[in-house]
Amino acid sequence: MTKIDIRETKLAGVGVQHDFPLETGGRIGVITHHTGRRDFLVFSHDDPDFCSIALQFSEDEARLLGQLMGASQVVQAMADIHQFPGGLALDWITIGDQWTCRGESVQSLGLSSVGINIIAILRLDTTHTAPLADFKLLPQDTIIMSGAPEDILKAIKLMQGTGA
Amino acid sequence: MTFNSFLAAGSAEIAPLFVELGAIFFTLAVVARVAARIGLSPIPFFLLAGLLFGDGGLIPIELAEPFIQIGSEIGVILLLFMLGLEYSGDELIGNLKKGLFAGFLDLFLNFMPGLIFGFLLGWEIVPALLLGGVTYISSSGIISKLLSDLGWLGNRETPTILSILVFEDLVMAVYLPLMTVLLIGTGLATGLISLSVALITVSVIAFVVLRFGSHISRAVSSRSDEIVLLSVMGVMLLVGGIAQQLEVSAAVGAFLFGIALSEPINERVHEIISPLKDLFAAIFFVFFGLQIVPSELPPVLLIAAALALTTGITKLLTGIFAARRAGVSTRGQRRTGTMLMIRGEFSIVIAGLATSAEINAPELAPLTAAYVLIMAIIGPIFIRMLTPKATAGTPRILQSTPIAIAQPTQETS
Repeated sequence: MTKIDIRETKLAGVGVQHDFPLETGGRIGVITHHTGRRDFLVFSHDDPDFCSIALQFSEDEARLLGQLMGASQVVQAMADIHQFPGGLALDWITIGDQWTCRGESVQSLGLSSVGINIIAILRLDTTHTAPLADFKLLPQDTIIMSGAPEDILKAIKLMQGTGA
Repeated sequence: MTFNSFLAAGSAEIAPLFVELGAIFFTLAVVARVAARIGLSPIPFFLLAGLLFGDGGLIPIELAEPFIQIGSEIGVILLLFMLGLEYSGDELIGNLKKGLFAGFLDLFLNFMPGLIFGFLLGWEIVPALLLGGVTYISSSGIISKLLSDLGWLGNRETPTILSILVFEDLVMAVYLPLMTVLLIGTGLATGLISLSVALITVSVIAFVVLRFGSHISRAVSSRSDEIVLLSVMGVMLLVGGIAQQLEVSAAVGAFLFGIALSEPINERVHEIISPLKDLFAAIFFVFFGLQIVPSELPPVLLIAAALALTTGITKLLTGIFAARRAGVSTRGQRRTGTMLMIRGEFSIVIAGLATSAEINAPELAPLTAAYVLIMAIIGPIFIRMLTPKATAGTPRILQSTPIAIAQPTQETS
């Protein structure tokens, strides 16, 4: 995954705008209004400072589009950046039906004590990014986490109930 | 007077009063509908409606005038309060640091023409300073609505436009108290004292607002819309009244109170107060029109046109310079200048200061009305001319850009 250069602009009295160039040319962006309204922007090709398309989204519609765009890509993106230089690794694991962590909250796993952060949880087709401490885990959830490779192994054992 | 005799006395007058008020609001509804149909702001049309009802107009009103007058004062306060509500203190300070150059350029290029025209008309310094304010201030109400309606909020030049508008609003917070003091027209010594009191008051209110904004927000919060409405109106009028008493101008007090209300309560207050603002702001524009005798307009039309031409060009230049500095392309620079050309509600607020004071420049009100009529109507028309033929959302644009669109796959074709 290449790094995308996102431009952030504060709009006084309106909200904040994020936009980035597309590999195929052109530029798209989103304005997040203080009111929760989202504007989806497509910049014009012959006048790159001008939005030729500006669609209004409600908060719910924006979330739906985000899920449609993001959910299927998270796993694919992970495959490319399995381990960073410096020992930080990303891994994910799907919870088995008999694991001891099923029905438990994220907090009660105590993963932060072994140095692991949960980045997101995939459930069915939905991505729950940065899950809250009281998020309850269920079998077949896929947990995406980061940390040192050996700590990730410890965390998996914790969740399975087989060690640590 | 007992309650019954009060009713008896009242009912004789209340019927024609209701008819007058009803006729005014109904007329405003009709002209607002016409304005919306042709895609223009209703503000210039409200002014025209005011001319229609005033002295020498078609349908002179009598009984409703006291109500309209008080209503218009509340309208000014609500206009400034809602403006303050749009911004948070942090946003204002952050913006001030960034937009200083463009802000002062705008102030110089657009205040000067009004001031000079005032002197050329043989006015004294105070009315000339007022005319400077009239030509300086762009209409943030009309402009932000246009930006949103046209889908231009995401354009590269928009942060520049918004930052200039914010700067102008802050200048208003100093300019309005200054003019309030000058209009009272006391001697130099007492004038300086009142001015210092006014500026210290503004600073104290501004400090309290920025420091304790979250406490103030919490104080007006409630589950009930009714309580929020009453709290906001109560505090707004109290702050405005105290500010006015200290010769700061009630509107500036309300503006600062608006800034004090921060997330999450500000969105709700916006929703609750918006209809009230629409009602009283419309009354304010009508009242301004009411006080102008229609026969005063034709003599100032030529001056208004010259003023419009001059300050149209100076705003265009302001926009071009400011946007170029921000690295915006030529077309974006032109859009910035044209957008800023639009004058509206705040030009009238400034000229309205003079109607309650005695100043020796009878042309100020009709000149401002004619000027705002021109600027509020031609500005949006120019904007539409700059808009590419195919506007936001039409599929034609998608096809003309090389952005990858889903290719028809084997299965679907």
